[in-house]
Amino acid sequence: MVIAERAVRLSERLGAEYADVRVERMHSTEIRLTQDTFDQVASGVDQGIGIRVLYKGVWGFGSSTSLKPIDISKTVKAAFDAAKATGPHAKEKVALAKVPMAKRTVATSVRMPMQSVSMEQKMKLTSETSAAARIDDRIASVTVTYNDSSGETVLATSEGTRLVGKPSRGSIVVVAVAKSGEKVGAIRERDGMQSGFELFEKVDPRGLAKKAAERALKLLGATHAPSGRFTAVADQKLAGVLAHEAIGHASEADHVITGESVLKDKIGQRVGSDLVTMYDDSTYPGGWGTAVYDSEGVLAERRLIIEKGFLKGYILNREAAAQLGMEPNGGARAQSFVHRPIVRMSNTYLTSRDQSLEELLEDVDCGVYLKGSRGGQVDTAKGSFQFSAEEGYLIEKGQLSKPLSDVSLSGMTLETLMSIDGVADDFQISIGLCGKGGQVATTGMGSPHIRIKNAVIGGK
Amino acid sequence: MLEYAVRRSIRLGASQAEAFFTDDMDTNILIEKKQVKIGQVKRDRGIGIRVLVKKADGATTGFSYLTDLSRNTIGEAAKSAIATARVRKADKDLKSFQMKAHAGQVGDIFDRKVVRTDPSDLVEIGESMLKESSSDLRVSTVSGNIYSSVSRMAVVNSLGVSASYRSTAFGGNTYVVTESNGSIGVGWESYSSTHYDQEKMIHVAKDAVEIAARQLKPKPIQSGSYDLVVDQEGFADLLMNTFVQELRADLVQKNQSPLAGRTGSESASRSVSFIDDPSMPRLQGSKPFDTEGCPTKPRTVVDKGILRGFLHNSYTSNKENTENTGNAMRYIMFGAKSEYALEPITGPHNLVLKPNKGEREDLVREVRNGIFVRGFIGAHTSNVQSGDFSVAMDCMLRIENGELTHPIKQAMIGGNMPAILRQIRVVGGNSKQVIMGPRMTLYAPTILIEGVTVSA
Repeated sequence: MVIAERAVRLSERLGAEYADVRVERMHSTEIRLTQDTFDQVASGVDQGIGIRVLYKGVWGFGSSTSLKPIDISKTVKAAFDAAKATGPHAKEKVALAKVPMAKRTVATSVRMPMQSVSMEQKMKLTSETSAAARIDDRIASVTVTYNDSSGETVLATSEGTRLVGKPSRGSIVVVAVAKSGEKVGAIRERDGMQSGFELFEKVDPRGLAKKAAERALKLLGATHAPSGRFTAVADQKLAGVLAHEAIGHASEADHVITGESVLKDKIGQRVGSDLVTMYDDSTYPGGWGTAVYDSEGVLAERRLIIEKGFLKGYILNREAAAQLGMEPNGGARAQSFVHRPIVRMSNTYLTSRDQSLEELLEDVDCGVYLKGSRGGQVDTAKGSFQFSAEEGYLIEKGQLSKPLSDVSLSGMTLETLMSIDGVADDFQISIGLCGKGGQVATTGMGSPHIRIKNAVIGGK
Repeated sequence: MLEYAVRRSIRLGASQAEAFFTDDMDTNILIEKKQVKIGQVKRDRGIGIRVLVKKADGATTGFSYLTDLSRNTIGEAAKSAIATARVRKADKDLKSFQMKAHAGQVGDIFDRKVVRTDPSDLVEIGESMLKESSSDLRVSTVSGNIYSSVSRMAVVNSLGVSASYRSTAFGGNTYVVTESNGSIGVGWESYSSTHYDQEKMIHVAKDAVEIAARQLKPKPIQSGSYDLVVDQEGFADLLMNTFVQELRADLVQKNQSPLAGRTGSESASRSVSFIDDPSMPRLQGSKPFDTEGCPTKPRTVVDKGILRGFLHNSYTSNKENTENTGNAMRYIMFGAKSEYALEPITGPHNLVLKPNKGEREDLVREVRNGIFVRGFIGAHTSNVQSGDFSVAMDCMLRIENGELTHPIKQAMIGGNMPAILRQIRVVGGNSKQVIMGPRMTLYAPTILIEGVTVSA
């Protein structure tokens, strides 16, 4: 805190209207086991400072991995130089929405600190996870990645906010690949929590491994998906990705302000069917994207984005809130001190309704069931998206029939939201990573099963 | 400092030790909503310490990194790396780190003008780009960035490797949205080099506007088989997520590449030759030695369609008792970790697709029924192990009888990368560098791929 406060004072002396400084020291471990050999067993310490100054209505940002006083002075000066260079050309001056000052220490509840657990024990967990996926000779490859990070973060602002964070999180990812002749099926399962190492009492890595292997084996019997327009039923994971990619990104206020969002100027308007209610929720208990305060020191909220088909709000940082005349809701996140805070999602999800999966399937004569996600991408301006499912099934006369591989869903966001004509009651949330502006954020993505009429399905 | 890290590791019990260092100073100006928005200056430096500990039945490695470059922290990291190596199971194929050798020859990759560049120079470029893009009244938004970067990379190990080099980088991209009568068009363009070039960046803005304007009023197309004219960015994106991974010897040895065992066999059409060339001037992937200190030189990967070899580092080459190709690279596919924070894997420096001749328009002229496409959405969802992918196309124009006729609403392609490489019929001559990863580029022209199944 002393270092951060010194940088804030220095920024003020140089004439900053506002400054926020983040100092971090984070320990991290990454273990990757591929085909029973460890190809990455790395630990390390990331330490540094990120300084953001507002000077004559313009932002400047500087970061450095060195915390020596001389380097901190240089970094503050670099942030100013950047702001001064931009200043004369800025047409709009930045204003920040008012928020209460915060002074608090927020620590993740931890029983077994990550650093107290030996590398040997973490490696053992990784190998046991890998072994649990070896359920059949046709499992050709297994990759398990273990990650943890923990440490201390400090945020000090020129408005008096002083926050100390003691974050801790861990995750495990299993990729199982089944092969038989020319057929290849790959499935990824992952889970994680914000917690100490005791998270592996709740998250079951061996169970995940077994599940990944079973699903990969199933793909060996799969045929390539048909292409064209079908009724699609998406499972919780894929529908969660839809919520995140297609709607979540478009509801980020920075995209709205730059005109790169299909949800621009649509507050209060219908953007989806009655069945669509969506939140971006920083308060979701234990969520992968959960936080008490955002990276600007604003209390992070549960943000209602869509209610029964009507657009209700955006994800906002202080700058966007001021510009749009809305109440700030704590939606700014920075990956680390290296990066400036930008508008980000936390845990994004569609809420449950009252149908069962069977009910969603029963009136589908010919359709495609999409399960799991290999990721996706979206163009928020045009409102187009593409997601790949890990596995799929043909739906014939209300029943799941032939298994399908390499099936993807693409479409236009608004058209797709209007076409959701069934939402089940079986909500689940999973963990994910989201890339934006060169930064990676940990996010939660959730949904029940949903049904989309007339969806564009792509196969091989 | 690096020598200290190596000495300290050996004293603590390592059989061999290596210290890898990068120091990057990046200046970046962001354009948002038709204005220069924020300047950022980032200094990122750190050391990755890797140790090798010999055991009765082989050897193990351990790794730890740090950004706080004090002697004390270096000692802690060395200890932690050795502790990891001690608990790891011995690998009989792990023999040695890189032996001392003379660095490779590299063209000019250092531009003093980039070193002298300050935020206000980049802001000026940004302003010129905005001026250029405002000439079209249909432009509703412009965003993008301009960067300049000065880097030093160094490797020292206990076998006598002690090498360092400096490089610079310059470039940026722009993303333009046009609006006209309720229709929206999106276009983007990028430029990257090791050398400062203001004019090229202004061109980037001009081209992005032109592309975005041509995307207005798209029409749907029928599903079916089309010839695709694919621009460099799109090709790079697909390659990085499939073929580049398949060329990695570390993945080949683990039987995770469909190219395993296919050296000497046909893996692309006869028009395709790939050379991994770390010596070319002005390419951001050029370097005299790799991240283990192995000298680099140009190597043919695919020669007229025939697969000639894989990308090796010290471990994979020792394992197969073959020559180290100097392809130790430190990166992760999805994430933003600094190179010093990672152990080396393998990857290309500059994957060069040997150019033939012709501009984009010349390739278009050869197509009767096709699509011109600049990029793909969702290439990172490709299946590396099989090379299968299913992606949406971005920035498309319909080609009919050799002419670009109209933009296309929405279309996807699915396929298999080995198959696609065999379907490449024409390789153009308009080579351009596209960033694929840290200090890693694709240098390729526009290509023509025959008979691709498109679902619309």
